[in-house]
Amino acid sequence: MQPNNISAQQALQALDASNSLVGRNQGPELLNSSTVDLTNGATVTPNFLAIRRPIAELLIRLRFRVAVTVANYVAVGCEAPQNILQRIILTGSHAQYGSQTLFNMTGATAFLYPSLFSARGGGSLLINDVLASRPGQPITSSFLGTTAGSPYDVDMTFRLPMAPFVGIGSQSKKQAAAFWLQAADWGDSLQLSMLFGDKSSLGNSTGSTVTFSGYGGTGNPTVDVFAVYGLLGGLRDAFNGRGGVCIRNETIMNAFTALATGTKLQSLQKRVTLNLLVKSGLLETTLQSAGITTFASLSDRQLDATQVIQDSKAIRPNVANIVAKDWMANQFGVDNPARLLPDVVRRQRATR
Amino acid sequence: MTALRGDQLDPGTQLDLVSNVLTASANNRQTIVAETVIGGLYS
Repeated sequence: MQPNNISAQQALQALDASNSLVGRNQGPELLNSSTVDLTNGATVTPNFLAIRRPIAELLIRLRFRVAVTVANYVAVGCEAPQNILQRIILTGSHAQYGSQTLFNMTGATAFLYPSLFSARGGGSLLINDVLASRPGQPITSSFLGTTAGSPYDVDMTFRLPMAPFVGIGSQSKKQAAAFWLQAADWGDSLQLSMLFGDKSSLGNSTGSTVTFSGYGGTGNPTVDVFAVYGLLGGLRDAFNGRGGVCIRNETIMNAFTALATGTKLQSLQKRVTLNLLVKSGLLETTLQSAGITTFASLSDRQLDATQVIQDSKAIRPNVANIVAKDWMANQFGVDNPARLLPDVVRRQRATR
Repeated sequence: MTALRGDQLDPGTQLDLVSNVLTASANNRQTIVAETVIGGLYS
């Protein structure tokens, strides 16, 4: 029998099992803990992720102290300190779909991405045990970068859902469960890589002395990886060998520096596309280490009329990004704070 | 769940993300996150 063909009896069993699912998942379980060199930047690659039960999401916790002495940061990047996690990459080999990159996103984007779809969805950031404001309009750094505020004990969490965003209700989790990471699909092939930056990923530190250490000032910075396992109950075997894959891939572009009308930003892959997020801003260019990307600021006034075009036809016509963004905020019931400019991030949900 | 069924487009169909660029700067940067799925509910 082909993986996608099931008998009528199997279909009824799956329906019964689906109706019994209450959508309560396991709490976070620690998979890996390691130190990380933020002084020079480093890549941390834990062992293969264990799929003891279906993985619904991954959580990354980063803890460190950063001390700023001699002089303040000249300019703090608008996405500091979450931008110190420069890139998160999750790869694996799926039994049916082969080698896949499931997640490839900057830490700064990963930090806020879930919050675009639910009011309490993104990562969390504590600096000196004070909960930082969620990214708003405009996005500004919660890390001050001043000598007066130093040292800064940073404890932050990044949330990486493995399924599409379908809301927080129990009913919607039945849909999400089809995309959880199953052992039958991935085996021991899942590999997580975290690329960390250095002081330059926090902004322009000209003239200042920046020192990283462990949280509280002793030891080294640490990074922990947690898995949230989904509890499927009677539905646990329903997706064996036929689980879907949700892919989130972020690319950075530097070619669009001149005024333009209707210019192609990117050719899209012809796949089932749930969401597109476009982030635009100005790069920090002073005293940046090789390979580091730091946004000095983000702006909603850099791009406009951003839309998906199929051949010469707009999938969803958009002439004003501000209006489209506000509409999307209402669709998901998320806060879209004061209409101040420049503001945050725009997104576009492509629907059939 | 609604989605753009790019997988069902005819061969040769072009699918692009286009935009106006309103401000010029050598430091302009843009990032795009594409959230796509294979299989699952869309098998």
